[in-house]
Amino acid sequence: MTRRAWLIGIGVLLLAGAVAGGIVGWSTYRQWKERPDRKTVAEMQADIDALIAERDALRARVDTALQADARSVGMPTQPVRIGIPTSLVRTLVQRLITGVADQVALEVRNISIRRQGSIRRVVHLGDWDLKLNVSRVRARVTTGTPTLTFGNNRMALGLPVRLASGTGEAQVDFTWDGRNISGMVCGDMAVKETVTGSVTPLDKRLTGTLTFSTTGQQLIVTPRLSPLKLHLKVVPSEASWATVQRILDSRKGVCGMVLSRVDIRGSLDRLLDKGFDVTIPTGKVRPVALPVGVHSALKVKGRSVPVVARAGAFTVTPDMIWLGAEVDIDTRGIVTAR
Amino acid sequence: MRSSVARRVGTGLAAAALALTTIACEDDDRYEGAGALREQQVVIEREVNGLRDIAARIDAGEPLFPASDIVVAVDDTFVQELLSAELPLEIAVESFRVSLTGVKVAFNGAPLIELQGHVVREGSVAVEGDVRVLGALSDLAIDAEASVLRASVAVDHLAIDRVSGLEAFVRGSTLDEVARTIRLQMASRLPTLQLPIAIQQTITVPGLTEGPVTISAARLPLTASVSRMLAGRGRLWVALNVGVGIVERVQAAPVRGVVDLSRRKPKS
Repeated sequence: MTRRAWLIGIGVLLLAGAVAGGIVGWSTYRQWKERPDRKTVAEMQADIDALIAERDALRARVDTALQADARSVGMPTQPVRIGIPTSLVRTLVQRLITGVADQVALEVRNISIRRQGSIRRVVHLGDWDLKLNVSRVRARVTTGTPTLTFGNNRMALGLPVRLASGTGEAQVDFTWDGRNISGMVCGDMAVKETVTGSVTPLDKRLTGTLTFSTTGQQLIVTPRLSPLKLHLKVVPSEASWATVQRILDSRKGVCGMVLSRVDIRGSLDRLLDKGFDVTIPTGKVRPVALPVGVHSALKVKGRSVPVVARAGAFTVTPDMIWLGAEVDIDTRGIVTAR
Repeated sequence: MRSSVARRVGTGLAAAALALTTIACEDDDRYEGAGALREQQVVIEREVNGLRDIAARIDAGEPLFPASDIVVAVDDTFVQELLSAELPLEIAVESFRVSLTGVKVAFNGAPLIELQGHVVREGSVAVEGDVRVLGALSDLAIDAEASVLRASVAVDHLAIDRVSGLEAFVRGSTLDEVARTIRLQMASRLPTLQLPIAIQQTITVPGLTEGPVTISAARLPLTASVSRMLAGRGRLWVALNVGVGIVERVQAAPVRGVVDLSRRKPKS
């Protein structure tokens, strides 16, 4: 084969290759160009126009729905707003009160009562002086289901309270100053004894308000409760009575007769049965922060920077408690580091 | 003679190539400017998808937010300030260096974010241009460790404009490919955004240890999570579901209730 023939052959092959490559390339290009998802500018513009129309219509609907949402009533205008449903606050308060209730204990100390009298039977037999010092009353307090009513930036609270399973301890200090014949046969007498007893169960209703306030970063619930007035009664145990009675019974004869006129047990009974008025101070129950607020620091560029929040509007509606805040982040440290 | 044959072959190849190129380019103008429209479409599609979700709930008679959920509403201007604090941001992708210096945020249907800046390719073939990153806030969740809301920025589209340097030689398709490469690698390198909304996982009740009434300190455990997010009226609305647990005692209450009968006072 001549050199010329070789060259022609190579040329033909190259041309054939180029044509074949061109055909394959062209076919691929057409497939790409005519793929179903490829759109011309005009088609894309038509799609965008349709999307814009749909977007505008949907925006109007959503804006209307957001405005009509009852919970947006009272929403502050500050850039950061936090709304807590009153139903959630009610659940939290109820759960806290009922959960904490079984951990409440009442202890009253040093209630003193004194009764004095004279015994006369024709002549003045003597004077008695009965001092009762209730040194300690301890009781457990249980609560019922609280009722909570929202309005005027606060929540009214009504809480059934039950004083239950308590014990008491009292010191009886009885002195008898015998006069005339009684003084001769009996002399003076002093009885000091500790008696114990149980607390009579008692039901009361605690009322007050839970006021809401804000520090800018937290929503605070502060209880303002009315003082709780309790009328405590302690019933002495039989063992205690038996002790007192043994002392009295040790006085025999005329002396015993005189003392029986005094009726120490009856006097004690009547004293204890009148009970004691005790006012429980409720002002010390501390405020509680709700679990959502504005954080005091943020990470910016990997560094913690302080967040300054200034409280704005604060509203309590039947549906929501809204807190609005102006929030600034202090990035001066970050700026310096740049 | 040999050169004559070669010339003929070469001419034939050139003619074939020219013919193919001519045919290929015959209707290119129908797609001219598609990149810019694609960018616009991406933004509107995300908005419309977000709005469709909300509208579907409205149509189904559902409330916008579950009735017992906490609602947080944050203005887009405020989120823009937060994102601005993260700038300037330098991100290196292969031989490209992207410097993001500006941000625009708009909450209407979707929490849209546009980051602006420059892209530079240094080396033997230098390229420089403006860059715009289009995306949205996504993956909103509670950062349990920091007790704040956090979100990431999802990147939908990256556009490179006003290219200088080899501008005359860089075709749109090449730029699109560069933009795609940068976009894919950039997404994971954008910072997580923290929103300064504090969410506690417990409520602590301080104890009362003095006075006639004593109360043990207690805590109420909570489980909070993001239940819904929507963007509308220039605000990001976040619904937080809060599960309320059972009160736990923090410390033992003082011993109460037992009277010590052995401590009787002696009779006088």
